[in-house]
Amino acid sequence: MAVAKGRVLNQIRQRRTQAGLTQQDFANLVGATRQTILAIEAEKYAPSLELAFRMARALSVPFETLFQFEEEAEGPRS
Amino acid sequence: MTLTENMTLTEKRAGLSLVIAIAIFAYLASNMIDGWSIPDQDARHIWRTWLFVLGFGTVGEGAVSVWASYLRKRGALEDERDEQIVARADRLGLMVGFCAISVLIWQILLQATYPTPAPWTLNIQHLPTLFFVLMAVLFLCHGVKQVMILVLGRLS
Repeated sequence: MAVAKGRVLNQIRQRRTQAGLTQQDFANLVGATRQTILAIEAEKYAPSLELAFRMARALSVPFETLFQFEEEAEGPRS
Repeated sequence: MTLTENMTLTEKRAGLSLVIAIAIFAYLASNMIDGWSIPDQDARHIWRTWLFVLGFGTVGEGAVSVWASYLRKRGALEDERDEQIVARADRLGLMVGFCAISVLIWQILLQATYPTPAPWTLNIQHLPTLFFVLMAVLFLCHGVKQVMILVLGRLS
């Protein structure tokens, strides 16, 4: 059975700005580069599970609040 | 914010490595090529060129590594995204190398099959040509890898 494709969405930008952190501050907190934070916020890069947990912990929010998984709707069957 | 401030350590390394590779390749080409052809050269000249290329490459890449470790001590990071980008660039460099070597093999086989090969084929039996082509393939793989690191760093 084929599994529908999906994408990982996140609330990092909103939560980070609410916490008053710059991208560089947040990058330093989680041990990543500012460019990685930028790519994750733009949803161009999906972080590893470890980095995702570090981010949730750094922002003091539950993992599933910070990240959501959206399944793409399946196209019409031929 | 300047361009270099916007680059990760991995991208800066790739940029420097690319500049060094281009400079060394220019040295190699100036030693091996005359106009659009590769003239006859004695083995001693080829040995010397190879040793200089190897030496310049080792010194250049060594200097880049020392500079990178200095930046790491000052807090610059190479994280999981950088590792992923380098791995993808590595794969592409390898693929380009595989294609280039395949073309070379195809040229060798073509020359072995036909006694008078077409004028557009490389004369692989000519030692300076073979040397230059093999070195060019190495530089091509390295160059593609560095360019891909820079491109993927911007796009992904």
